[in-house]
Amino acid sequence: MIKYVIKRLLWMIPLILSVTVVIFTLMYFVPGDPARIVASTDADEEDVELIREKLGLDQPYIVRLKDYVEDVFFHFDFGTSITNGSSIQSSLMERFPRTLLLTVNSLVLTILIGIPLGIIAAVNPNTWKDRIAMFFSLVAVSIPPFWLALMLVIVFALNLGWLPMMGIGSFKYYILPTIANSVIGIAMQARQTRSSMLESLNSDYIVTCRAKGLSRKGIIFRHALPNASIPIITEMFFTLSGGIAGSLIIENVFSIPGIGVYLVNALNSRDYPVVQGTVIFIAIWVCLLNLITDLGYAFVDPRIRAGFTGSSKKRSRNKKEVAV
Amino acid sequence: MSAGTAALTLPNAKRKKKVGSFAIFWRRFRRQKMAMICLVILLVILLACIMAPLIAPYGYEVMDTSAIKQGPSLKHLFGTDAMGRDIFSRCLYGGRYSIAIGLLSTAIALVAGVIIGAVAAYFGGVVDMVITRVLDLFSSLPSILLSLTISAVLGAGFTNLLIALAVSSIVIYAREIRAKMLSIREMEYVEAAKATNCSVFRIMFCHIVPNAMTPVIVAATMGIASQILNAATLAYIGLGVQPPSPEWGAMLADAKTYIRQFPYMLVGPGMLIVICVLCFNIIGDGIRDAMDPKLKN
Amino acid sequence: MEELKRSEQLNVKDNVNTKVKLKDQDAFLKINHLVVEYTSEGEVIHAVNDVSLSLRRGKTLGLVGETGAGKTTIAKAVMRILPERSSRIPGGEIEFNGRDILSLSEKQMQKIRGEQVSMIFQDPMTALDPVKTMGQQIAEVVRLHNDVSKKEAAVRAEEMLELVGIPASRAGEYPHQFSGGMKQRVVIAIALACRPKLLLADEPTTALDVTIQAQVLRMINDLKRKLNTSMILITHDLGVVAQNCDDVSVIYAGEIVESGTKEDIFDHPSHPYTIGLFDALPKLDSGASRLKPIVGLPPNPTDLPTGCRFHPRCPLATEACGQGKVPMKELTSGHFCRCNKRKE
Repeated sequence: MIKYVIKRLLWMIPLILSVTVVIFTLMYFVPGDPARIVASTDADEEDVELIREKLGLDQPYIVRLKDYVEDVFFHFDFGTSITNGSSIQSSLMERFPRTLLLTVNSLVLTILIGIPLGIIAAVNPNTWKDRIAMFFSLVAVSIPPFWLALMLVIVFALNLGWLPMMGIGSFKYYILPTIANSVIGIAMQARQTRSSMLESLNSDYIVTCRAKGLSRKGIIFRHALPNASIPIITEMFFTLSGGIAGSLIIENVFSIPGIGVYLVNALNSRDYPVVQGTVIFIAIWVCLLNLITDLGYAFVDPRIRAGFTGSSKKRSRNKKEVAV
Repeated sequence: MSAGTAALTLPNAKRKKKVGSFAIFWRRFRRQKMAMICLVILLVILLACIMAPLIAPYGYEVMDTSAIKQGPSLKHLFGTDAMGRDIFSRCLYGGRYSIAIGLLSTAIALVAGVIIGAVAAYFGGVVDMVITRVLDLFSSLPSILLSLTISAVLGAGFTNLLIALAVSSIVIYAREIRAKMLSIREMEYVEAAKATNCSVFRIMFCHIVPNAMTPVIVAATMGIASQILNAATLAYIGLGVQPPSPEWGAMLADAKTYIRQFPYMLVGPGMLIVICVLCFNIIGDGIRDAMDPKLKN
Repeated sequence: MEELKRSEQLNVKDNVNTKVKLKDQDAFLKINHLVVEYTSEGEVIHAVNDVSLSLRRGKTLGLVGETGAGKTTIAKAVMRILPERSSRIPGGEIEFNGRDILSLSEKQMQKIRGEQVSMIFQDPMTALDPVKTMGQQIAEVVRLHNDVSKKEAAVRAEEMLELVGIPASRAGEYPHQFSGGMKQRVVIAIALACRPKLLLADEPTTALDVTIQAQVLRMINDLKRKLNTSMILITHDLGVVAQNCDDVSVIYAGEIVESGTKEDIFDHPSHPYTIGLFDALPKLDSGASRLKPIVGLPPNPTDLPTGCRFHPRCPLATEACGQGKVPMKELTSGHFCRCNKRKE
């Protein structure tokens, strides 16, 4: 198992490296001259040239790429923002917890609401409970999160005045952003849970369980749910990894100084080191989540566990032979 | 011998079956009331948007200085914006952008994804490995983030937006078709086709790809929905269609400024997005149930 | 018991009277006029139509018929584990050990299932929960019906594994680590863990290799004798019936067409369908080199033929066979047949 984790962590290196190269290259071709952004508006051509030299922007692409990769991989140094000169990794570290809080809140809501909703729907298929739950989750995945956020602000902050409209502070500040950020996740989880629960409830071993004299509850929670958990875990992964993407918008609406706002502002002001740094940071985060998800699969399914500890190579080779 | 004859008759049999299977599909689809209602609603919206110049009560740029920031009324169904433009009319014109973006970007992604996935599954080996790794690379970033970055790099513009949105969803279709093709490759009718000395290319694109399309078509219908959402989100952040154009997301971005005093401005365009996306989602569900009833329960 | 065994060894006809008496006293499971229907996409599937059966204590009843004849449905009805939404039992009664099964509440039924009545399923590959260990799956049924600690249940589970011929050390393994035959042994261990009074074995060997089939059947029989369990053995294999059953009921399109002791059925098959089944078997001793299959296909259960269900395929059928319900007739004492052509 540990061997597997190490293998996966090592595999992350080339992946992150490629993300770095791709994003660096993309940013290299962004229209607009970074040196001119750094320089004040009334700076003349000479000043701009000086700044360009100072930032190393006069170097050829390959040299700059090499320097950047070295900085990121050997010194864990993302450089500094060109708009305000602050260190990017310390900004990320300062902002990430806020984004993480938002994301974890969504995950908790997803687990507390989405999964039970899906189970209720699956246990009563094609009844009014099922239909209502599924209709509302379909509506929920169809609402743009930023618009939902704005509507929530209009109702709860502006009209009723119960909650603050934007900014950060006590837990009250996180209620609306959390709701707006998690509605899609809850709905997706409910749909996913329903379909995978239906599948496991229709399996033969459920009949065996009934024949044993197990109660309905026992069947659902001791057998059907554990067997339905792989897609549910996948959906949790999407809640966490998509949470970053969601936070881009939600943080924007509620002015929460998290990673999302950082990236969007950087994109708008063409602050290319910040964009690079943030994208790489997010890619690392998603890769780690991926690993945790795979370990989660192994935890719930002994067949996957068996694949991890030992015979995984043999099996994949067999698969390839079959495929050919 | 018997395998050979089976494959020889296959093209004919398939042609006949195609007509039949669409009829079966349509009969099953028609039975789903919700999906049919949504199809009608969507067609009405689509027609209204296409014929916006004929239907819209005002032009999308016509400013009426006597009617600035007016709430919804019979004269202005969704109210007017800060420049006195009729929001309802702008929504109709804007629908052309939003729906076109959804359809076109999905179509581009679908074609590219199917080709990439099919190539990976067809050649296998190194090609497959490289493609799979590149797809892994793409999926290490959430799709909205990917389109955000790409559209920032490419700059504003309708085509660039399409590319940004399409690229980020190619992965979905490529993976789906590759996985399905790899499993179908093992089935017996492919063996039968091989036995008749059909070229491998022909087998792949005449026999295997069409059979692997079911999950891809369902994913694409839902994909249109999420592309409309993503386009609106990009526009809202300021990286999609730029504000003077009446795109739904851009209109919302405009209206956000007046959220305190004139929240009604946010309602019309937002509701239209929700309705369109919901319709596409429900139709997608309906197509899935009609194509493969086994998936339903 | 002794008397019973002897009576079977003797000629059947001589002992008719004693046997009938015993049958009535000992009817341990009685199914009367059971009807089961499924609904699917608005169509009604008539799976079981007016079936009556009785099983004597400690005996094995063979339920023979083609796929889709309603055998499994009967067993599931006895267990009350038919699919909740898509099936219904519009008529009939099931009396088990003096209790009316169909009128019990779900709670009462849960106490009976697994403890007094248990079932062995046709396909061992899918009958076990893939994410629970074998030990857990056996211990679960033990704990459900006995007031024991987790540890005691685990010990019981290991004993059961040994009993079905699997080393106790494998209790911690998962279904994917077992072969089909081994899985079926575990299914049997689960079914017998609480020493049930009635065992419903639904084609327990169909999914297994021929070499394993005999082993598993012998094991079921040994355990059944040891635990003094009565059994309904569902099968389409007459060879299996010959080796394992005391009584036989032949089922066709959800109806019993012939029933009697094994000797009645094997020595004097009377219903044309039963005769057809025997003729479709390869025989070593007869000169005929070709098998005689029954012509045609089993009827569509959504649209059953009128009159005798078998008449469209019956070599003896006349026009009258297609009209009116054909009653069961007692040919000799205890030997019943549902055919107009047979005289009482």
